Amino acid sequence: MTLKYVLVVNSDVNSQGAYSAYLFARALLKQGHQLTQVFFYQQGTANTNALYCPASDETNVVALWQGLAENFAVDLVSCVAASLRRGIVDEQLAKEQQLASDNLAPHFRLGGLGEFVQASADADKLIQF
Amino acid sequence: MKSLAIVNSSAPFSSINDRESLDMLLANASYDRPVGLFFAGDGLYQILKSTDAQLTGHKDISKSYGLLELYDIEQIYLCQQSMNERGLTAEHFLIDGQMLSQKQWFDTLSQFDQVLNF
Repeated sequence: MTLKYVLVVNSDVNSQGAYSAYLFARALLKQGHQLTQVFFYQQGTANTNALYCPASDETNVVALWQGLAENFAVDLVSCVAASLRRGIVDEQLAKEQQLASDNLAPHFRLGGLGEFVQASADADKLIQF
Repeated sequence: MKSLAIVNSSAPFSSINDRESLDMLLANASYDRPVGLFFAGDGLYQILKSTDAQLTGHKDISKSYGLLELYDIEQIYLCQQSMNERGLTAEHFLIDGQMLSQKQWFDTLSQFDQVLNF
C-alpha cells in the first residue's frame, strides 16, 4: 500500500534531524510512496540557504535536498515567515524588503503556513524532524 | 481532513518555539482543521499569567492566547504531573485547559491523526 507523506523539518541543517529527514524522504520515495511536500520550519529553514558552504569533507545537506528534488520532483517548501526571521529570502522578497541580496537555494521555494496546512491535512503520515 | 495535535514542551523566551508553535496552531485552525493544544513540562510556563515578555526583549504573545476562543480551539490539555512538579495550578494560567493524568494524556494524544512537537 502506498502512503501519502508530508515531512516537516524543524532541525538545523547541521543537526542529525536534517540528515535523517533526507534519508527518510529518499527511502520512502524509493519504496514508491508519495511525498507531497517537505516543509522547512523554524531552524529547518537553514536547509534552504544557498550560501551554506560546509568543508569539502563534510556532508552538504542542502545539496542532498537539491539532488532529491532533481531525481524525484519533490516540492521543497520553506516557511516564508520563519525564513525571513532567519535571513533567508528569495529574489522577490529581497526586492520587497530592500535587502542587499537573495539566498534561497535553487529547487526550494518559499510558501506560507497555509500551504503546509493544506498538504498535511490531506496526508496519511506527517513526520517531524 | 486529518486532525492535528500540537505539543508545547519548551519554556518561553529561551527560543521562539512558543511563537512559531502558536503561528502553526492558528494557521491550522484558520483552515477549520480539528486541532488540539497540549502543554507539558516547561511548556506550561508559556501560559503563565505573571510573565513580562518585554523584560526579555521578546514580543509579548500572551494576548494572542485570547485568539484561541475566536478560532474555536477548545481542545486544550495540560499535563497534571508536569504541573505538580512545578507547583503550578490552574489559577496560574492565562487559559483554561483540561488537566490530564499521564494515562489520559497519551490516550487523548493518540486520538489525533498527526502530532507536531515544539
